[in-house]
Amino acid sequence: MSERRFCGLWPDRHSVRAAIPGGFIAVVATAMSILIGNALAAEPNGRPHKSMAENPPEVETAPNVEAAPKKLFETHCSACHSLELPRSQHLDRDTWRWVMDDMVNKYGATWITEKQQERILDYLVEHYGPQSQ
Amino acid sequence: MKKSLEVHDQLRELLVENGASGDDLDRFDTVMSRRRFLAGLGGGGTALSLFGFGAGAEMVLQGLFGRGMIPAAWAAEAVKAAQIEGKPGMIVHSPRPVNGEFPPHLLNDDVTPTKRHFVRNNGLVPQRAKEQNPQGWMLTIDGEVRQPLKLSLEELMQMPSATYQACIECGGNGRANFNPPVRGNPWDRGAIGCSEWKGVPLRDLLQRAGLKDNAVYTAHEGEDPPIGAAPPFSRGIPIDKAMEAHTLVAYQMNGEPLHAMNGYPVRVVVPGWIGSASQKWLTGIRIRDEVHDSEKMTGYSYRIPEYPVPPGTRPPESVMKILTAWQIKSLITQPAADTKANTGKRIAVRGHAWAGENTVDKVLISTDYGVSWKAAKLTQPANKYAWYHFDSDVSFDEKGYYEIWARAFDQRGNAQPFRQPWNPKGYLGNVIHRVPVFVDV
Ligand code: HEC
Repeated sequence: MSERRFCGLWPDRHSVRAAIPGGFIAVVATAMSILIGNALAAEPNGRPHKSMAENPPEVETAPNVEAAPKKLFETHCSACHSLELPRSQHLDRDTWRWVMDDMVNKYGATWITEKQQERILDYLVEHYGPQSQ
Repeated sequence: MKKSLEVHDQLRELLVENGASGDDLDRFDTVMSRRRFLAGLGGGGTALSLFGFGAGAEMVLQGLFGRGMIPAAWAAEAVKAAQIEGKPGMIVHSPRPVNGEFPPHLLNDDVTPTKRHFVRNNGLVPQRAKEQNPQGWMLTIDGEVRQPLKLSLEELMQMPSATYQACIECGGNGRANFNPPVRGNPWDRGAIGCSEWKGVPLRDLLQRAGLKDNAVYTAHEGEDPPIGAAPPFSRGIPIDKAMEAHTLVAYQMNGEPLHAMNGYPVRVVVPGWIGSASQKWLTGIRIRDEVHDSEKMTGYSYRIPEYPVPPGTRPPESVMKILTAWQIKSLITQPAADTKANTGKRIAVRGHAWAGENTVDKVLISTDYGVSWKAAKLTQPANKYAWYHFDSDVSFDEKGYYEIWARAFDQRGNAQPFRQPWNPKGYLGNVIHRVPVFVDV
């Protein structure tokens, strides 16, 4: 299993890796690649995708991974707390931006790229805006 | 299957190395078994697990585990439909961190039972609290004192104690009534409790330690693991309030050891002030020679603008001031919202009123949208800072939709507003309580 499997899933990986000792990475990388290999093998409709498992998708060619704002939201915003926290809100764009900035700058959600933040923001404003129920 | 078991073990080892708590490991195991099940099924669920894992891996890499963080997505199944032990019927705004309140009609008791006392957590619940295990717990009092103290629970409990009923209310209680909506847990009216607390007056501890002349403020420390890279939750109070007789370092709630969610084994009780002053899972009080300046004392956290700002605007940080006492407020606990009644029948109206550092002067009741009012019977509190109770009755001559309103006044003439004044994070909401009733012939 090669570290290549990280590619495309986490665009921030270089900066993250730079800060971490190599041995540590190696273990996680191995563990992750096995797992991700397995999971991808069963996507998207239960049919094994051998080629995907060997050659994971890049950001651009993996709409299910990177493009779906709902998935991005559910993935990143559930990392620390339940999704009920954001889902109970009814905020305008400026306030959602303020929340996002706090999550990234104060609470450590630094791995969410600016591009991902923008997508998540669009999603939040659309579904959890001031008029939402 | 064998492969994924190995993965499980390897990742688990990593978590242990990175200081994940036993609780986190339990959650990890639960979710990993769930994950294998999903992987077996294939299809949609797998994608979600994979994504959850993505963010989780990032956190492992950043060494954020052991700071109380594990992807909640992994455990979504485990915490769904959260029922918090010992808090039946609680409206849970968020299971992680636990935040929940009770609807007003469940707060009818004169003294709030532990099972009905709200929970507002910024971080996670310490393992010690879950296990009700006092072993190894110590309270440190240091900073600007002549003789720092270190006390075990036993030593604390041997000191002379005091017992008071005390209102503890989350600074954000009432946030759901702000318009435009503001960020934060959407507390309606139930993030308040008035339970009976027993403990050592903080001033006795401070006197024993000997305050230096430059002592200005307290800084409270607890053992609740923070979430993500958030700093440990900490707030403090001015020395005057710390030396006030009713401010306690409490180890009993309603005659029992503290509930895990309410701060076991020891918490501060700062009656009448916003709840965040009443640090739970207390381990230390540091006396400072300046105003405490933790994350939750600065910026927009638990602070409001010095002057009223237009709704929906955010003034610069420099005009934000630290929140202290609550203001005049009341809660109708009977009848419940949307009660069905019959014409000509007497309906008992009951509730509580409280006023922070002030006293409650009167509570008025209206059933015609504030056109006419009648005074409710007011019962005095058990002690300073406890709930006043009010009783009245109303009846309706004709079929229809009505609202029962309650409006409390303090001794200074301050009263609850008809519309909620606005501030950027929705603190100190005290708009009058309106209870809908449906009347039929
Ligand atoms: C690195 C950890 C972390 C991540 C990731 C994270 N949060 Fe948070 N979030 C926190 C912490 C810590 C709090 C504050 C808890 C408290 O003090 O009550 C919080 C609180 C909140 C709140 C409620 C209180 C407030 O501050 O207004 C909202 C809404 C919220 N987060 C939304 C989000 C969204 C949306 C995302 C995804 C973009 C996200 N969070 C991702 C750590 C995180």
